[in-house]
Amino acid sequence: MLFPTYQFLVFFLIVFSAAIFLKEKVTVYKWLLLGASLVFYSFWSPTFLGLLLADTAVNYLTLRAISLSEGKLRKRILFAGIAFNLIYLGVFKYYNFFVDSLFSMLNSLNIQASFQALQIIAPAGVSFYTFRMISHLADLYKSKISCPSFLDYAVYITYFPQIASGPIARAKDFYAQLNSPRKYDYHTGEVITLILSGLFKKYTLSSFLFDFTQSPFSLPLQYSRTDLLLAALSYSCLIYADFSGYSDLANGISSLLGFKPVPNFNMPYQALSLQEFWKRWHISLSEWLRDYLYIPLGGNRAGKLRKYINLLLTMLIGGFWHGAGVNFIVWGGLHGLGLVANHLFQDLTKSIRLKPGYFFGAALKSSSWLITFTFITFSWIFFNTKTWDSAATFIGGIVAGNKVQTVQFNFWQLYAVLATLMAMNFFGDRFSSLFSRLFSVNNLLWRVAFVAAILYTILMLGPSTVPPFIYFNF
Amino acid sequence: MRDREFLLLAVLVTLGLISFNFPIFLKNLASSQFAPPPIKEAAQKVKLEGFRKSEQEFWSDIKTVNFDRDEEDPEPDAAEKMPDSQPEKQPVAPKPTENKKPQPAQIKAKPEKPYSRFLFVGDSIMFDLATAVQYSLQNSYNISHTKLAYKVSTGLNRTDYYDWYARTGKLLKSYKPDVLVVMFGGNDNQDIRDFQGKYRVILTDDWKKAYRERVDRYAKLVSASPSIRKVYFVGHPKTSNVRYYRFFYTINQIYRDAAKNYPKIEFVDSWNAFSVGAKYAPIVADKSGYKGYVRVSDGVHFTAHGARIMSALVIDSMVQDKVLKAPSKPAKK
Repeated sequence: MLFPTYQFLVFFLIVFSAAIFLKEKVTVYKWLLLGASLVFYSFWSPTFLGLLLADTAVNYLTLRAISLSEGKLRKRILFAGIAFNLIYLGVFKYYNFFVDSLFSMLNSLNIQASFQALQIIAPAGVSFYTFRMISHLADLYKSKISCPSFLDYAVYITYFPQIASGPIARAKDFYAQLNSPRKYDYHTGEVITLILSGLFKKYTLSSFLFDFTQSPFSLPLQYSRTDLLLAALSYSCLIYADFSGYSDLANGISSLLGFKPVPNFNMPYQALSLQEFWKRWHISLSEWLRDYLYIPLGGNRAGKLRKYINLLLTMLIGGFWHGAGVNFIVWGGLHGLGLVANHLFQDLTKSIRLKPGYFFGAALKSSSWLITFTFITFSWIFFNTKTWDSAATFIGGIVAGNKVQTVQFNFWQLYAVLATLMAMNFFGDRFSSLFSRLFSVNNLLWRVAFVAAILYTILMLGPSTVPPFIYFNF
Repeated sequence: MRDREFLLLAVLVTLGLISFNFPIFLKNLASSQFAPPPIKEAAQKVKLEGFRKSEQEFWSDIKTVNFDRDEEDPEPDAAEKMPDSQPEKQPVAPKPTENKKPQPAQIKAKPEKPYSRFLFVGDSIMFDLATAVQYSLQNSYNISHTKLAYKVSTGLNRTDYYDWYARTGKLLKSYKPDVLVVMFGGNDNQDIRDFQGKYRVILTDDWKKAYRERVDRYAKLVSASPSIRKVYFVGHPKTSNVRYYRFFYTINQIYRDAAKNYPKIEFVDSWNAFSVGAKYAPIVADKSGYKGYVRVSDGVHFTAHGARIMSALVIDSMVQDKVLKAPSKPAKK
């Protein structure tokens, strides 16, 4: 079930109406959330639901075993649990990739492979819920949390606003809110802002940009240099609008159910360095990678060289997590190298203290922004191209130009959408507070008219069919 | 208290939006998988007007990525200057056997001008296929005048949503292709409203008749184009998706039958392209023995490898029909 549909609206209004009366009855409310989540997830496929429940049960048994054991056994169970999750993820998400790569290797060695292989379909949200399961095992092992009841655990794993594409909520925070009769006290203006902003980003902006980012990445030879540049820029903006739009919707819905929003995007394209970018982009994943991968690998505790290697490894794995494909590893590797360069530069220039004047400072900031944004946009090219050929042709087309000279993407609407998204990256917080203030006028008729007018505009500007969320694939 | 306020607000806004523009609500409701046939039928009758109509037309233009308006006119084709002797509106009677029908070149003596302009038309499945065919045409046959006109979620069924007759007519006039490659059907797996306006349930005899009429009208349209010298209707290969297996089998037959009636049109039979031992196989070898997955996880769209296998079938048909000469250089992987 997708968020921006009438189907979801009806589903949510039923769940929300029940939630109003049941929120304070903690146990009953948990059952309501679990039931709603299972119904929501079953819309993808009953088989996926069965897998999710089986996976949840196995992980819960592992949690119980960890909580009941000590010493080396406890550690072994932890490793077994993590291995199980990695195998689960590997089978459902990477099996096809590995088989394809194996055939590719055998083909290149001129070895005729005669075995038959299956094609496995990954359950929706598998990357996100597996990450939650792994971090839960680690948190319990380190005694950061105690072993929850099965009901609590099942609600945490299957929680419908976050199951498909996050944000990746931490178990400790989630349980504290789930078990409290006093749920997160949201401001209606804040929730309305999140929901409308999510719909606007997804329904209008992302849907609009979608069509500029398909053909040029598959058939780059058919586009002029300007078109390819616009396509690359459009993809940067598309992936931001699409994913942050989803996160806004998930956080808005979650707030209404009594859970505090989990920060996931904070105007990432205003970043002046790659380091800053990762503090603003997909924050819940960045923090997860930091806490459960980078730090366990040694973080920055074992010298500078080790820190750089850990950074690179973390980003490579983070890239591979996004999808079973070499392109995602390249994307992760580029960001890893970029971060290493970023840290290296910082380490080397630590002793230099500049006091730039206003103009020099502004020029320095502008060039930092330009370098960062160009690098990010460049790396997205690998994210959105399926083959080396098309990535190389795409980049070649931008650098050296193509035979095609006609600019096909010269639409004022495209420039307006790109400008809007860039403005949201620099002034998004101001737009939100202005919106909340306009909404806070204490008059029901005004509020209804205000929200309806904006929603109607969003629906009118959107297409009749909305493309699926990009991050549902990851 | 805040929850109740929000619920009241949500209900009022929803009701307000529904009452303000009921047709849009109906169309949205009909797109749900749970919408019963009467709602879907009612939604299909709704015609968009005013701002929404012009806005949807704008969306359609945007979605057709390769825009028509900047297309340069090709040099006049020798074939176009000649009066077309083929009676396009009088289809040739279908032959009872599966034998190859006479080629247009055999029917009318046209100068052997190379086929140089290729147009691909279809939905997102065609996008996968055309990408691979265009690559082969460019790299092996040095043909770069190709154009892909695709639109996701469309076909010949829901002409109320997207009119491929109008779009194709426009494309044929503006681009003037020699060769047209068509692949529809991926989104046609739904009930249909026939040309008389009657609602027909999927895969019933009435549905097949209605869809046959759609395909036939399309065949007539493209056959009547003076620039077109060859058309390929590409069939769908087997799939693991149960829902689509029977559907593709049925529509392949419809496209095959339609192609028999028009000399310019050839049906590319790909039913067994993704099969091993007559059964669908997720991993199939191409001509060179290279193995890989052929369809993505939805069971409908092609992987790059699957698209290459399909592309080879289309290219083979073109070579067989002498649309293409021997490759100028071998295709790269």
